[in-house]
Amino acid sequence: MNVAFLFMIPLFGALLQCFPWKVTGRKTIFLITVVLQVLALWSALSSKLPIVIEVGLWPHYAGITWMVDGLSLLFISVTIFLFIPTGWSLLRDGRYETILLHFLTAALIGSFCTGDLFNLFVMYEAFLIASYALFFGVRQLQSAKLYMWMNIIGSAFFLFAIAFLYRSLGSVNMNVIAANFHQLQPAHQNLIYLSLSLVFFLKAGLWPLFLWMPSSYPKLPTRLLAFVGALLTKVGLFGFVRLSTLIAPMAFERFHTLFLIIAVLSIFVPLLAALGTSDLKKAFAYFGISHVGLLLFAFLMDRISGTEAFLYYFFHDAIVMAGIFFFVYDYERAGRPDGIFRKSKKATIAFLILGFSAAGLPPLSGFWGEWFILKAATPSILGISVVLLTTFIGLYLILKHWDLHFVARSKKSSKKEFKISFATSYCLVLSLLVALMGMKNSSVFVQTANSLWNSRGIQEAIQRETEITENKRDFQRGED
Amino acid sequence: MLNIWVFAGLFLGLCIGIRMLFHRPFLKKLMGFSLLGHTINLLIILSGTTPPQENLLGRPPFVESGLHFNEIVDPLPQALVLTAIVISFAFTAFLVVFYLLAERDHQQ
Repeated sequence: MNVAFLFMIPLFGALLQCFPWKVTGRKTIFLITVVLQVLALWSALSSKLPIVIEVGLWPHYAGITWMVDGLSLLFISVTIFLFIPTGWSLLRDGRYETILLHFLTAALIGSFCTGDLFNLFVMYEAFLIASYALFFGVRQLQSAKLYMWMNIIGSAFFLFAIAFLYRSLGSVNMNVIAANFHQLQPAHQNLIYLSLSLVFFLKAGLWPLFLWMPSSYPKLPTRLLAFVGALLTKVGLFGFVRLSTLIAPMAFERFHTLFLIIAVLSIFVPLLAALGTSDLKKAFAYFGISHVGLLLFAFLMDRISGTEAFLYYFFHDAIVMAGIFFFVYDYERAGRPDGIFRKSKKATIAFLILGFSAAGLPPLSGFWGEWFILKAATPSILGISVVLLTTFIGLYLILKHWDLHFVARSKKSSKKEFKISFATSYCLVLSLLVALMGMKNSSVFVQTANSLWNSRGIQEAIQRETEITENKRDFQRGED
Repeated sequence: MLNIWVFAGLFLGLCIGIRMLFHRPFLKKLMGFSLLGHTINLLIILSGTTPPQENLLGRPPFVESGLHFNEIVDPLPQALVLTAIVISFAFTAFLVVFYLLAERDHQQ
């Protein structure tokens, strides 16, 4: 199975879901989509990385190449893992949102696969428009306006950087740019690098470009917030890591202090906001925002071990935060009860495991995430103190909400039964598996980190693929 | 380098476009978005005429017989610009519907 199937299967699933099926029909189609998608992911995971496709067999100087390496596959697999519970939970009562979720997933996977900067822009626009349209369902359109206009300015900067890059280097293909980037003057390198970083930080929601976050993120429907909050911000970080490892590693070294300041501020400002609110959904939305800063911080700490920490922490954070938001959806569906500790044992266990995992207690996955970050950060005092402070504040947040919602009882609280849906238990089980992976110190993260910082493997794969498609083109042309 | 006045004009277009995004009425924002989008597209087209093709600013990217490679404008940025124009067109349509629905919700 070709890697392009990973992109096309959710797309066709979206088109099929547009027909007026009943609920059983929608469930069948969704299950078929999921099974095909998992098969495509399995075939991608078992082939030799990096997978390089020249779309339409056009040569790389005239067409688009798609490049799937370890980083892309990690992000794609997390997308598919989170697509399953979100789609299943939306199927029954959100036909509009199901279609948009399929388009969103397709555009996300496309943006992770692509090896061409302009194609990245197109995929970004596709998933951005899908995410704007998701606000229609919840009728909170006022909150999406700032989100939309800030992203417009971001797209303008992206296109400006692409124009300047094309003028200087003659290609928008990531590998060609990577091979020739050192030929530019340092001032031009800085301009391009900072413009692209501005775009990616705006999408990721890092200080000071996260102004669109507080008004729009908590207003999304909670099941969608699980998918969107776990993944859409991380796409910005994906672009940034691609930029800094493949295209412009020398410019990345120059701006290290600036990014460090941005990362630290992005960690602590949302945490302050999270401490100030007693609404469960808002608190965890802001908590998730601060984790993006922590991811950038981990990436900045060290080359190889920092990237390894970034990859594992992303894997843990996406699944655990999605689980927490699914739990918040169950909480809202039960009518926001108080005193949950007495009422439902399953809810208590779910919240405790997911919450302690997010905060970073052993032996859950958050602890191994912070273990990797601490390993990358030593002997820097700043690194160690930031990570430990984050754990402490996260734990305080969990305990505060434990007190507010689980222990405190009031007469007026809802009497409905607190049912834990499939999505929450799915994320719970998955987070335990992630913890197991961290405990065993699985080597896939180190291998990916190594391959990112040493891009010779990718260059060789491009060379091989170019020769193969040259032969295919000659054969089709009939050897004239 | 190309004529400094070309870049000064485009810079003015960018500044005015971004400033218009901050106005309150929606139509001003829409005009600002259009101005911004078209200016950026002009910048991308300009990226196809690197020196030594400076005197070819308005030329279409066709290859006539006997032309040297230096006398052709690069056609790839024009393809990129087509994509960007289509995206901003679709997005303008989406924005109009979005604001209509927002106003309808607000009136309720």
